[in-house]
Amino acid sequence: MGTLAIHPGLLDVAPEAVHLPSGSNFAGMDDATIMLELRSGNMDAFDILLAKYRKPIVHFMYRMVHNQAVAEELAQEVFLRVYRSRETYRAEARFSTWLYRIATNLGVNHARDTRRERSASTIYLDEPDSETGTTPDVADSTPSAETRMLSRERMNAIRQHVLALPDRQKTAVLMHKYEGLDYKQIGEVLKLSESATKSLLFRAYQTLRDKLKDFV
Amino acid sequence: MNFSNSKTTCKDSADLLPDLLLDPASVPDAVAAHVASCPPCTEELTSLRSTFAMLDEWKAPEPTPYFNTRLYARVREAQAAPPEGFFERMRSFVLFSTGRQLRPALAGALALVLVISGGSFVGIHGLHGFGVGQASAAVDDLKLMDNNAQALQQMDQLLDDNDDDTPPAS
Repeated sequence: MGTLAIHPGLLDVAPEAVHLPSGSNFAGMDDATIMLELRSGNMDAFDILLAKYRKPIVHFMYRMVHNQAVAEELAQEVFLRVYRSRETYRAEARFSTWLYRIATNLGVNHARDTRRERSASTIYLDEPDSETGTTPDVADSTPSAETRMLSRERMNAIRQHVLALPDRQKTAVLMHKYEGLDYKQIGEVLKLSESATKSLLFRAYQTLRDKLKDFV
Repeated sequence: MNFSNSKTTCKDSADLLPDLLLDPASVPDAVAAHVASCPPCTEELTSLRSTFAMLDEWKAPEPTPYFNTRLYARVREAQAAPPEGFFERMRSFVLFSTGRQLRPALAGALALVLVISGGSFVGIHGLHGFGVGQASAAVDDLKLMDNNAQALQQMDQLLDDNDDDTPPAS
């Protein structure tokens, strides 16, 4: 009688491997050219774009809406719109600019539609925070409890004050600080000049500096 | 106001503070040198940089492993669905396009549509007999009476004038 030992990790669902196309060589292509491949019906191009932008767009949407399920739903909607718009796509701007413009519109619309719901946020004492991975310690006497609470407080303050910025400033900060877009791209997404974008960002960082001065 | 440098002032530094924070490479050396030697300017820039660095603590969770599965299911639904209509595609284009060069063309097209639709509106009114001047008989009568009264007044004035100017006939 034999015994079969299975590593517990094998039973977990493995992360989906990025399906790399075999028929086409996308190595030297920029995003706009890959998008034009998708327009001509090559679904491998969609896989390439998805593999490259999935994480940044999910992160961007998460910071816009602060809910992972909703963020993923909206991120899927972004890629779905990319797919649906493949035939009308024009390589007039950088692909990433277009992608973030779609994401920004969806995120702002969602924020506007759910403004009332978000005003009453809920903290679950028995569920870990998705960012810090910790649960709220109501009466924890361990030495690290205070540190963790301070860390969580800082995180909440950052999140709260970034999300409280006016829509354009918030979007600009998320794209600049967390997604690494340059002024030109941010300006194209928000339909602003480079100097106006820089000014917008600076006002946002000044506001955040004033609001977060107790935590720095 | 602190003048630590003969050419650069705190005001110059304040004007370039956005660049100092966001694009330090573009800032002239003189301004950077001033900020480095001026405690208030240094403090201002340091506080902004500290806030900027603090924002890095906000981490976002990784996408779930099922993200692609759900997305591909939605893509398959989109493939099976009938193609989007013209208006839906136009709406998407207007909402999500970044093409600045198309704005003049769109403005021109909109102006053309307004001109054509305005002309059609006037033309339709003309064709269906909804033109101006279809007043009721009572209003016409009142206007006529008003005109008559004005004419009589003018004639009276003329007669009065004539009475003053001409000598009485014998």
